[in-house]
Amino acid sequence: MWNKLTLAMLVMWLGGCAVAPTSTVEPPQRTGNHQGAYEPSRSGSVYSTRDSGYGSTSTQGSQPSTGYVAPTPAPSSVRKAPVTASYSENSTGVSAADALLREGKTYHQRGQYANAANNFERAIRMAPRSPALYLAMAKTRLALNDYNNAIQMANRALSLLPSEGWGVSDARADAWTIIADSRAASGDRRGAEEARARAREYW
Amino acid sequence: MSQSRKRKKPAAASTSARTSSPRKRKGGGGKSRRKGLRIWGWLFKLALVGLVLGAVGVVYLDARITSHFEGKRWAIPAKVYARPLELYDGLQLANGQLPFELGLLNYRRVTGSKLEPGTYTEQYGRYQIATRGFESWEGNEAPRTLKFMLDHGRVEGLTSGGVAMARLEPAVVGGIYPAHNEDRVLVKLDQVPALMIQSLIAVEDRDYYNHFGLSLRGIGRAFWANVSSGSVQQGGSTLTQQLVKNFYLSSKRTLTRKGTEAVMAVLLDFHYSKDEILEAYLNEVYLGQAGKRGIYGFGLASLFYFGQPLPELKAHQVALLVGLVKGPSWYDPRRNPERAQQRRDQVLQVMLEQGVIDKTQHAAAVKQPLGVIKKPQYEDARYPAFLDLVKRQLKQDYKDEDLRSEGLRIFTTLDPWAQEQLEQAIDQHTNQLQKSFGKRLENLEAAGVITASNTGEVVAVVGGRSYRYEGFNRALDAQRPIGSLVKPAVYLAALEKGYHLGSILQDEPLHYQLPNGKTWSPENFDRQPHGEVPLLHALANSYNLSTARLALDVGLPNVVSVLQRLGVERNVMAVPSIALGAVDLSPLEVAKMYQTIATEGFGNPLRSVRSVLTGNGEPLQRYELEVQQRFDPADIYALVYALQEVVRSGTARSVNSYMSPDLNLAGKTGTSNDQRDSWFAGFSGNYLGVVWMGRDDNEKTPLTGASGALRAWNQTFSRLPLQPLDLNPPADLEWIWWDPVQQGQVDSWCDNAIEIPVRRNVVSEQKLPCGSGGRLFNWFRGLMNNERR
Repeated sequence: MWNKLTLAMLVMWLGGCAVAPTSTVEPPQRTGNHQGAYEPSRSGSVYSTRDSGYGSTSTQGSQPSTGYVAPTPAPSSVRKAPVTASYSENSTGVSAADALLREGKTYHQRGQYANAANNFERAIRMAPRSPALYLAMAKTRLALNDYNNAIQMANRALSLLPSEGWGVSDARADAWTIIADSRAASGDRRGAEEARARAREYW
Repeated sequence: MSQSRKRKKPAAASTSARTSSPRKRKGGGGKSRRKGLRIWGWLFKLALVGLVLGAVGVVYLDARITSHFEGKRWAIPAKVYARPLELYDGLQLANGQLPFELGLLNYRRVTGSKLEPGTYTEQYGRYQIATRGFESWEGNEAPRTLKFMLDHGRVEGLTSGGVAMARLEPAVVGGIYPAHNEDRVLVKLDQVPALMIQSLIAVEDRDYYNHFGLSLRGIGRAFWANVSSGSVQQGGSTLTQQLVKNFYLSSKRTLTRKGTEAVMAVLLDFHYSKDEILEAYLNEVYLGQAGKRGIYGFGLASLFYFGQPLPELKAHQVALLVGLVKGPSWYDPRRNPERAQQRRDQVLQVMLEQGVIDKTQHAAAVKQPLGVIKKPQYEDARYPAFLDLVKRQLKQDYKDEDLRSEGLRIFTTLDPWAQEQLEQAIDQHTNQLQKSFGKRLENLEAAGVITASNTGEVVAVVGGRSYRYEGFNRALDAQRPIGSLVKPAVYLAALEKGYHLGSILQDEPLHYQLPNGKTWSPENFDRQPHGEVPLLHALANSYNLSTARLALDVGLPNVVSVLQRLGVERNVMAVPSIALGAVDLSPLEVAKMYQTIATEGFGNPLRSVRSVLTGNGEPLQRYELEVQQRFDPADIYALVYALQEVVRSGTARSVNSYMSPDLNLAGKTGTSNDQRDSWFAGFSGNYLGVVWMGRDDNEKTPLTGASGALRAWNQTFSRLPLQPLDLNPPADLEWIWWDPVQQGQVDSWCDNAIEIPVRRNVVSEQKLPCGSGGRLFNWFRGLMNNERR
């Protein structure tokens, strides 16, 4: 019991000494290769989650006898996806998927919608989180009079778009326009009006 | 081929015999001359009758030959393919994956610069691969030579004649067989190497292109050979006769059958060109056996013995296959390699004598080893649990008979690398656990499912520990209580009702009066209450009391509604115990449920088939990507953040000793009552995996989700090419610093501050001053909690 108390005091003291946690702990540089022989750091300090002061988690696995120093309560080290990012309707982040997207759009223009959809789906397997691909897919579904799926693909594109950034507003407007057109075509006039209003917000 | 039809001809012959015998007796006692005349008269009539009957027989045989030859000749089993490996710049492959994929397709590593299809070179990560090409839904993938670098598992600098992507042909992973288990891969004559045809003709029927279905020279030669050796050495049957025998007749060796065979051979030769007959022969001939499955035709035999398509075969391989015609079981190169080699060399000798190959070719071929692969690439149902899922999906759209006979090509979503990693992990960890627990853990079983987390494509299914054998498919059919795996549904319902990750929950004892008068009193796993806990940590640490209270507060029907929108189709009763996992689901159903979370609130049907082509390569059906939004992205974002906390600091911390925390993996452990079921469900940016462990008899185990299923999950995922789970925060979501004790926003440097994502306008904008003493209190409590755990 006294050990515990001493440790608690020690932790408190260390915590007090530490600089006020103003910045998130930067995760170590990634090498771009995640699988395979990942060696967790022995001390646990490099990767250790700087958990909040709340809860019990930060002291998990602490071993007082080995002089383990509990991590300073600090902001979570969760890497947040960038809030701002640029968006281009021709870019997926994977060059091969870009090529499929381009080709798919050509198919679409020629009215070869099934081929276009093939291309987009194949590209989605390469770049599964690209809003550009879902938007293109939504347009093709609309052209195929597959309204429900057109709406859903547009929704998915919306969910994958970054919060803000170059071109994001245009993409939102685009997605809402597809939704409006699909709703109108399937007889949902009021829904179409609402979607059009949403689209106008982003113009 | 029906036996009854085959016997008809001999029956006709015996009728003529019966009609003749009584008349012979009748003419028994007259004068000799008249008698002679009469006999001649009778004989003449008899001959006429015989002739007519014979003609009828011939017409009948003729009809049989043409109808069978021109109709569908064989019931071709549907072929099931894995997904083709798509190569492109930036593709991340797991350590060892490329050699595995090439090995699966029996690509041979060679040296030198000139590559033939099915070969590759590798030097310091620099690859050159000559692909074989294949027909797919998206069109023809032409054979070509690819060059690229493999740098830490990343494909870089891929070139292949302008196109920046290429696909290796998909591996065949099984078939759906007709009742008689005849398996074959049809080949067209122009796909068969000339060497093969020449050798076959040299060995089996030298006069093939000159005779009329029968070869008198062949018979003479056979007769001479048999007489001179004093035993039956050669048959003297032409290829046409052999085909007739296999196609139409029983294997009984009778004289009448020989006669029928000869007549039919002549008729066949009369009706059809030599090339048509030869093509049929090449596809019909029996060349081996794999368990119940008969290996028919050279197309399949080539894959079965060498793992290579027919056009790639070299002289020594051709000779082996041609030699097998004489006796596939006697000369079986896997069971009787020496005998097979003798036979092969014998064939090579004939090839040399007949001028099919020259002396240098012969000398080179004889030096070659048999070159038979140990396990056929074309293995029957190597992944039976996955195949089971495929069949179930197809049965919704196809008749069973069509699957077994139309030669459909079924392109599935199976990722053989992921499949084998899951198999190995389940195998190793169930063994290890049984070993370490000894008597306390016997008859442990396990199952697992992996999907592509964004598209719902099922990439791996393991149905039990004996994953090479068809049997009870636990991944699909074992419905077990999911324990804490249900909790995300409770928390999602709470988030929808205005709770957020910083809300305080009471983790205190609960006694709930049930309608039947009984009291429901759940307990925490550590049998201790944890007091006030933020919602985030209640989920991360899988506390039962707070979750049960939360579920009752949110309303059980709302929890049920969330479960249904997550994709649970089973009827779920709105009783309190569902909050802690009294819901029976199969691993596949759990995968479907978590899929909706991993796809950010979009449900997408789990698919195991991408497309189906006809036997001729024409597109038949495609199963398209579908999504349907079921949840608000902001709620899912917060939930996923909490599931990431499970891995960062909660019950699934052990993940971090296998994989980099930078991957931001999310997941949830599950343990059912009395530890009868051990579950883990988790996902990265590209894969979702569910593993279950438990016993078939539903007995207790010493395992929790973390000490059982999670181990196998960890090993599997550490061997997959993972992408980090970085979700875009939805527009209506903001990050705030929150003090759960004060329940208000504070500055980031405050003691109790935790940073959480919340939906805009859910919490007050007003910022509070730092709370006091929180850190002492909480650190101390944290330690005490630790002690208790």
